[in-house]
Amino acid sequence: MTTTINIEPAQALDIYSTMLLIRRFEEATERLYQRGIVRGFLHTYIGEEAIAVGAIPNLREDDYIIGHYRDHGHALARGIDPNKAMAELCGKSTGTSGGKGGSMHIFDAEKHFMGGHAIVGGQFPLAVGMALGIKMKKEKDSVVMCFFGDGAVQEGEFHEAMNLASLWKLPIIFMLENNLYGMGTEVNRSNAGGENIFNAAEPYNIPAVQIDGMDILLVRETVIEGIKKVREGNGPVFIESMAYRYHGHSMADPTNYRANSEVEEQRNRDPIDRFKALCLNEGLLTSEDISRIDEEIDSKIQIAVEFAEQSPEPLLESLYTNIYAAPEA
Amino acid sequence: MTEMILRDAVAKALREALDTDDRTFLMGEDIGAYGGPYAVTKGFLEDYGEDRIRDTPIAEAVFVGAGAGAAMIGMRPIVEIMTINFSLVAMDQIVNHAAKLSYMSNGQLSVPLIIRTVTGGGGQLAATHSQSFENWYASIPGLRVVVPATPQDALGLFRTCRKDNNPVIFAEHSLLYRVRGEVPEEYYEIPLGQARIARPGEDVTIVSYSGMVRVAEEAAEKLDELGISAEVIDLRTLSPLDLETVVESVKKTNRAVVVEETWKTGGFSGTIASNIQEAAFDDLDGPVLRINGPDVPAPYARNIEQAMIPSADWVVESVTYNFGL
Amino acid sequence: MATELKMPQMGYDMEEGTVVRWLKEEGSIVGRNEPVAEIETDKAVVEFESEAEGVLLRIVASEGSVVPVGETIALVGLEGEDTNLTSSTDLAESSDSDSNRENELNANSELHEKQAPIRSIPQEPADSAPVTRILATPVARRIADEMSIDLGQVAGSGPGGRITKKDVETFDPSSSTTIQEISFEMDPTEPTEQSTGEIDQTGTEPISPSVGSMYSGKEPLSRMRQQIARVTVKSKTEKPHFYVSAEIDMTKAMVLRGQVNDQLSEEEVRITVNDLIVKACIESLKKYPKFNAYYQDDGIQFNSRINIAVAIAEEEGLIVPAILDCGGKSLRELSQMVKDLALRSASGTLNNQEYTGGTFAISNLGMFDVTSFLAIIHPPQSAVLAVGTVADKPVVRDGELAIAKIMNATISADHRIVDGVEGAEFLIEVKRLLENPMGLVV
Repeated sequence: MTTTINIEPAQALDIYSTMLLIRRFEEATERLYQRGIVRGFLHTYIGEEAIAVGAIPNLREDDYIIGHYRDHGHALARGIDPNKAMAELCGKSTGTSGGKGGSMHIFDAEKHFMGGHAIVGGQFPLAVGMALGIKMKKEKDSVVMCFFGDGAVQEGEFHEAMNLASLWKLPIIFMLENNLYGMGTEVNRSNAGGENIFNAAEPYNIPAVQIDGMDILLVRETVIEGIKKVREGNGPVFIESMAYRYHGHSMADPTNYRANSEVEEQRNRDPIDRFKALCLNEGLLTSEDISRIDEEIDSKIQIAVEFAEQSPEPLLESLYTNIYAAPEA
Repeated sequence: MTEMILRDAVAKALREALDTDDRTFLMGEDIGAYGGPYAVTKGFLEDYGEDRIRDTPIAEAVFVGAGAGAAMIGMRPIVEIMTINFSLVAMDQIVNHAAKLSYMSNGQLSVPLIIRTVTGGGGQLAATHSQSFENWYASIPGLRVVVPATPQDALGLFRTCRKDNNPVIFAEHSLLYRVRGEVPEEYYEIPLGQARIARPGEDVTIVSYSGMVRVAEEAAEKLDELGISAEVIDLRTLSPLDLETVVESVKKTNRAVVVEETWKTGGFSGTIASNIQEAAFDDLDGPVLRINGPDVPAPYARNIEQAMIPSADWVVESVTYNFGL
Repeated sequence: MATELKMPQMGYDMEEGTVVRWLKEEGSIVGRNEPVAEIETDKAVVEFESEAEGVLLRIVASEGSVVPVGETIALVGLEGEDTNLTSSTDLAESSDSDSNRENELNANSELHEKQAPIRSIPQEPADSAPVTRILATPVARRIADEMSIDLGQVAGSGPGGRITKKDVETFDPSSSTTIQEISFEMDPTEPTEQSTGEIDQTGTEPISPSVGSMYSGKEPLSRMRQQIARVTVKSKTEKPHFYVSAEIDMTKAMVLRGQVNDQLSEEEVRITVNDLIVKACIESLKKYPKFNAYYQDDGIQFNSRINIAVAIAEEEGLIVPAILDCGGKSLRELSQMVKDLALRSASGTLNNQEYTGGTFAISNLGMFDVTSFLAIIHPPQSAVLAVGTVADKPVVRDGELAIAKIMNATISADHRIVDGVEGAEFLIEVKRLLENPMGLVV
């Protein structure tokens, strides 16, 4: 741990709860997938919780978040109701998109959570657009936080977005979650610049840092600073968080491209374990707190699963709804 | 009524948008300092400033997607893709994002983005610069596809698009910018999904859109000399599609031919023809004919390029032969 | 209650997996999320974790067994708990999914119905002979139906002989263009300049103007062609044809024709060579009435009137209408009748009797410079005279070489009712009349 600890116990509680909520949520979705209730593609965030939880709670209500298909953690970190998120994954009418989006397309307009996007790199132009809209409105110094993986960096749109964001000085925080694998391809096999991707920001004149993405407090500190900088209106920043996903790319992934020993080793970095140990050490949390939170979270997840399972499927009519928005009067 | 050319009608529509709606701004390649590749936005940069008239890098994916992103949070951008050929570079943003955000968010988000672009061939610009893809976009749920052929329609339809709240492909035909037409002085709008009967007739229905409307009208003149009265329909929008007007006409004339510039295979004329025969089978006095360009890439040399663009003669020959008229 | 561990869904298209190896034994303690087995999917072997902690009470799927996704493979719980599979829940789950699927299917088909139904195109019955197929546009069929018009009676002017709306709307039942007997030869009378020898242009399929295929592929049979085929086959099958030929010196006949025509006023109809031949045949038929009769099993049936059938070329093919009751008509009258017949045929206003009432036919290929040919008798007639071109030929007259206008005439006759001698007699009479043509004029 390289950070100074400058959080209160209450904050420690929040952070631990949220990370655990994400962890348990993801574990539950995997079980639901194995039972055939969640279907299609399921990409879990297990191991990367520190990034979403380190970053998102520092945003304001008027800020915007957009990202990729491994989006449950971000959604929960933003405060989206786990019941609705679980229901969406189960394809129920009570889901965040009425069952029409699924795991990869969590949206909550009210919370400014703008998806959840399945096309790798597809979120970049949208992020640029939102930042542009913010700037043109001239109402607030809101920012856009754009999450993407080490794979997305290979798409042309990444470079187009970095270029335009820098050129027009747009308020974007580019949050790279580098878990070293683009699906089954290790990052050095597909990125000519190697695994230290933050270097890619340099030609675009965007200030960039690389941090340990499994150190929640470090992430938090770095992002707080980044947000502040971006609100000043001088253009985007780039934060590369090095992390590891403990499970496969998705449920279909046999993970034969990684050695088991590597995964085992990475378990030593488990962000939740580390934070828990730190908090206990520093007296920010007691073991009773931990137990209590553990139980609360388990309960929350159980409720979410039950809610999702018991919710009805979408009505057939909904196949045809919201293809088009209604016109202005 | 005033008379104006189509280009000026579009410019008028854009100025109206910029003048009356703070949320509107323009983005595209060379629309500002250069004055617009087709001179539509000439003078705009001076009048509206570089904040609202944004020259973009040559990066269609990001600036079209940015249009969608800005629209998502309440702005009303109008993006210009220099020609519809270049829209392929932004196709993911158009088809996978702009068109589907409303559906995937189940109505939480909307994308009121107008994408203006230029379509059509015949200018000896060779294979990659002479295509017309508006028919492809017309089959994407979530998009509107608007194809005006007259100044009056361009202005009236654009006004409606601004209120539509959905992503629109507004395709202007490169050879129609100088077409003259009358435009009402008073404010008017033209609804989407309403075709126009450009010329009434009794014996055969010619369905067309965009650059082919005047080919259809020319064909109607020639058929008239042969004693055949043709009814010409200008679809004006491909999505939504006004099938009702077309079918009503065919039930009256019993004969239909669809004229479209793009390749025959996969052309929208196939969808239209199929819809006509489903709805009016027992009223047909012959197969529903399709006049499309042949399935070839556009060549550079003038004579062979001209040979791939449907002409009035093709229409006349096909009609007289196939219907025994 | 013990927790059932089920074959997991690992990949959206996975349907079943194989239990490769159990990592724990029955009776051993398992922790939550502890791997208990190795499972093989079609992609790889993966570790399967227990979702519950407790004792591995029972292994349901042994090593090597292939298990569908969702089925129980083991039980984990507290020692002593019931290890019978709650088969009802299993079934409930699977039947749930079945009924769900069923509901889904039902719902889907409902959905399909909500969308516009597509009218299916009825298949043609397998035994329908192509010969009876009538091409007509949908609107033509509808109008024909509404107006109770028999499409079989209507000639089609569309591509491929397709009957169009216009054809049905302008159809006049009294001028039926169905013909019972058709001759395939041509006998163009002088005024008619219609298609001589034109290839049947109604046969080709509608093709775009820029594409043409000459003489390759298949030409559909027009109705007329089909009928001609039927009639000629019938004739040749039924009637034993025999032929008698003669050369007729038409010199005097041509001269006489010229003289007669010179005497006519402007409006009056000109006599043709064919008219003379018609007259000659009529007179010969009076003398040899068997050639104006027809064979029946119980006797030779004579026709009370002489109706001479002449071939007229139309756009669609040949028709052979007859001038009726020629027996008492003068040459001039006959000439008039033939012209009139041609005109009315062109406007489609012949009546049925004229179409079907011929008793003897004359075929003239003289316009084509052919010397002779053998015609096919049209049922129910019994004879037909085929004449070739009139050509200048050297002849011997009074021991000297001269040039005469010679025309070959060949009679085809039904051997069931007449013999060769009778045929010769009939033909020689025709020859005599034409070579001494004054008798024709009076």
